[in-house]
Amino acid sequence: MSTKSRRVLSDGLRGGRVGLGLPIVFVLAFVLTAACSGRSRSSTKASAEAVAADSNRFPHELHTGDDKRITGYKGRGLECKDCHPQEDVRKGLAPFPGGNDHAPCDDCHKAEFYKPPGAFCKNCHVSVSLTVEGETKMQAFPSRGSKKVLASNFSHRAHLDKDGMEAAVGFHIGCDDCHSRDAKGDPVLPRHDACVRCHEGKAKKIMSMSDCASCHAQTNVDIAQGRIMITEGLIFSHGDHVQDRAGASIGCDSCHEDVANSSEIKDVSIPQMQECAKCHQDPKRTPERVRIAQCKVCHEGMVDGNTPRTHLTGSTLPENHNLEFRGNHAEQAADKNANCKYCHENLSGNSRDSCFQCHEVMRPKDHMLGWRNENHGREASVDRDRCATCHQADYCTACHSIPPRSHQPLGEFRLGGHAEPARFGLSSCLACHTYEDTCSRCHRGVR
Amino acid sequence: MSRLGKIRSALAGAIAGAVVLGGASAALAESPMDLRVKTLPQRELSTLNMRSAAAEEASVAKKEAPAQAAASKSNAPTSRLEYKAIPTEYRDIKERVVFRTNVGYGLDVSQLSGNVAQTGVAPGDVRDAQGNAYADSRTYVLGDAIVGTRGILMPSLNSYFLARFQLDSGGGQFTAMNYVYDSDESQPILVRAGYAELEGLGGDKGGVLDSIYLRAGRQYRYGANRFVANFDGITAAYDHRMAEVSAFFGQRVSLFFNDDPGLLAGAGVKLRGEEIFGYPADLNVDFMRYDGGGDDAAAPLFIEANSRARVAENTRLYFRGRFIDNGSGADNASGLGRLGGQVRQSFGDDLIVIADVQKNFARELAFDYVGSSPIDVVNVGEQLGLAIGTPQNSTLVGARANYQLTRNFEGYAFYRNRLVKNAEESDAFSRPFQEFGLAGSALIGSRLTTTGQYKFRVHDLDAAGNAEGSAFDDTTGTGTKQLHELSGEARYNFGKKKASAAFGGYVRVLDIESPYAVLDNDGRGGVRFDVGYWPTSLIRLRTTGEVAQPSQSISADIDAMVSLRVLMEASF
Repeated sequence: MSTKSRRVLSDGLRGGRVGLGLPIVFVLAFVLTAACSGRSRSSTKASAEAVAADSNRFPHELHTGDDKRITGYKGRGLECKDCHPQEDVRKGLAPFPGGNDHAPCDDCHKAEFYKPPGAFCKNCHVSVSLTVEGETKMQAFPSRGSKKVLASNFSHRAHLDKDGMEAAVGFHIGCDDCHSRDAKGDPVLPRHDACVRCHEGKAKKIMSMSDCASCHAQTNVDIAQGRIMITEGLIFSHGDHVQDRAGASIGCDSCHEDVANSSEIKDVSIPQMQECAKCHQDPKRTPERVRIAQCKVCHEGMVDGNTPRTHLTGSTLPENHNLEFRGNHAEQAADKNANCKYCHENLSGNSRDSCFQCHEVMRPKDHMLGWRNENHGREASVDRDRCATCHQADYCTACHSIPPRSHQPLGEFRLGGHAEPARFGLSSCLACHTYEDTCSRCHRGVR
Repeated sequence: MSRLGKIRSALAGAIAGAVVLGGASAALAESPMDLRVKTLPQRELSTLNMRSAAAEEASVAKKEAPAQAAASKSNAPTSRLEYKAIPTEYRDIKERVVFRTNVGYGLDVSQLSGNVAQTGVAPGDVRDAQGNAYADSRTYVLGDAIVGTRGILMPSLNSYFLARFQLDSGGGQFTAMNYVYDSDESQPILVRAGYAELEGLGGDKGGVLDSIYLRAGRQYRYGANRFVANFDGITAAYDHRMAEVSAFFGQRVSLFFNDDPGLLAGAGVKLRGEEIFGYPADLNVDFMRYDGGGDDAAAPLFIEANSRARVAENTRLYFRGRFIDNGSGADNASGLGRLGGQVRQSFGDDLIVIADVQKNFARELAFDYVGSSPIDVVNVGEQLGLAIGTPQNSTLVGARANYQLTRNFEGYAFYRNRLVKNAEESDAFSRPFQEFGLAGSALIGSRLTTTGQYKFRVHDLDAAGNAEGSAFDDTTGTGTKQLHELSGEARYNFGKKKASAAFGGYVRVLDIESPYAVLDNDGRGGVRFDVGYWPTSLIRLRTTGEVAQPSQSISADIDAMVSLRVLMEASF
């Protein structure tokens, strides 16, 4: 295959300009690819040197492993710099290989480039079109949801250690020095260009950009790339968390509290929901409609107020459920943003129904057997309001209309049996009776 | 004024109030919001699904190539965004339906001690009015059921149903323990709530309809200062983020009697200062008028208000008040019923101190809006007597403090004092008293929680009226001179949603002074347990029990009381 024809094909893969020569190129491509594919099939049989791949992601692990084709590359083994030119890395450029007419990939995979666009192309391309300009697209790298193969062993602890940095290199850095912001204000994951600023300068003596393995030592580690913190249906924008409603700056460590203790990517501080609540429960810092109880602000697909039943806390009580709260939570429960429904079952999830849904099926702990038999009247004398929270008047009269045990047999009780209990506690009698309409009917003028 | 006239005037007042307040709230200008979250997600009438990879790809593609995205839109999964009138997927059902039922079997046992009661009669020797002998045990089936739905049939339609039941299955009603279900007119199944609600009628398009909700059926209404109305009727409201205006009308629910329960109507407004002025203060005002059953029944009217404000980072103030017209037509029938306030002050994260004061006036309700005034009881089963004399002017002051000593231990102290200016005129329900108590809670390890409490209360009795041998008709107290109460509980969790066990006990010791007898250190107490086990996450098996020893002076005729309940709870 001539250099010219290879360039035409690669131009096509890159979506390069083909202009009026398109029909000619198409015919040539057809003829050549037909011829090449015939050669390729025969050469594959003849030689095991050509490597075919079928992947939708670049297989880094195959290029850093112990395969003899890797270890035997040019008699010295394949090195990082063979694919990632060090001069580019030092400049902070994205050192993705293949941009130069698929070199150096075609050193090993030459046969694959003679074939029509197929599975092999998907290692790097989303789509390949020989005929439509702009339809040949590169895959995003790193692709979301994939695992890191050559993860950097970056230590936030080392980089945020102000004193240590000053001692080692004479300056220190902050979050924004590496995590620049995109157009939306979201911090971006640093690339080589962020590292270059120091590691090709004052910090070069500690770690040089030309020493790839000093940073990319980990292979095939199980770390998700891309949205490792903001996953799935969580809606979050760093750019919207620059200031609180009072205008106070929100520091990175407000949410990423332990980031200064993170020594590797795996233990980077991912905020839990409790961290969000610190501000999103605080009216001074957030308006009501972005409070923590407004689930749909952060969670996609959330119907207002319909909290998942999976939000149960087991045996753990919320911090505010102290002894005082357990007996006096009416105000909090009636709040529009009350989050009782997160844990307490039986609730419709509507803040308008703050009391009865729980209290109709949960008796207060002091309502025991002895309570009903002997104690509740005495307690009602000091806490009438408390009774009326649950019990309407007819509840009381319904029970008090039943002659109590002491009134049996009723005839004997009426005739004289009531005297002693009446003298013991006349107030008990008056729970149901009045002096005027009960006592004085018989005891006219008599004590 | 006829009863119909009263209701008309109440309704007119409610509607006028709602219109005026609604207009006022709508006229309020948008507060200068400083919303750092600049775009809120669209409300989606679906379940809590996570973003699918396919959907995300479609989203990315849409940004990069609108034409391509449009072409792939038809292939993208759209079920997540589609509203289903009837949920068919398990997860969807779980999110939109709340179901819980608790069914069990109860046993109460209380054997006679052989001693005579205060009447001089041993219950074992007598029959009740129906000729039944004393039954030392009683069994029953009991439970409750709750069903709630959200967005079934219509996106804006919600519903809720709550009922309790208790059915006798053995023993008799002449026992040591009475139940409200024994009332002649009571039904074994009590429907506490059952309503349907339409809310968000506008489909979240930001219009007025989005903020309107309508509720019809058996429902509760909570006033700004604790009036609680249970009624069959309608509530209509406009619930804006800055204010809520509502009105309601219906027939009061009387679960235990079949007489005319009366009608009620009212309105309310809630103003949310934080949204209106950017200042964390709320004001709630509620109005209600109750027209008691029968032509000559009283028609009390209430206007209740409460307000709360966060005046400093750790300081909150609460105010509450009630204006009342008890409908008696007397000169002093109208005016303040109660007025109170509270200060909550936090000191760091560990200490909270609360101070309360509440002034009750003589025209205050005797119990609730049904028992708004003392009633001469002729037919006990129809009206509320409950020894409620005319309320007296009194002031209740109190303070409490909660201190988180360590992460696993907290302490709590409380104090109350009821001050009555003319104590000699007060009755059992407004006698002065002082109360003091301590409580503590400790988490031992990660599974064992213990709590304990001690309470001491001393009542200011009318010494002359309650002294032994004193005049018969002086009832200026319950006879309780002082009370000591000690209680505690330990609960052990065997793991999330697996099993838990609790064991507790209490002792009460009272000093009682009455014209008949003086009792010192009259004790009663008990122990109880509660064991729950979840064989699956949807089902809980529960056994609870209690053994209580009544006072051997007041209830000398019975021995220990034992209650045992075995329940199965299914929830969804």
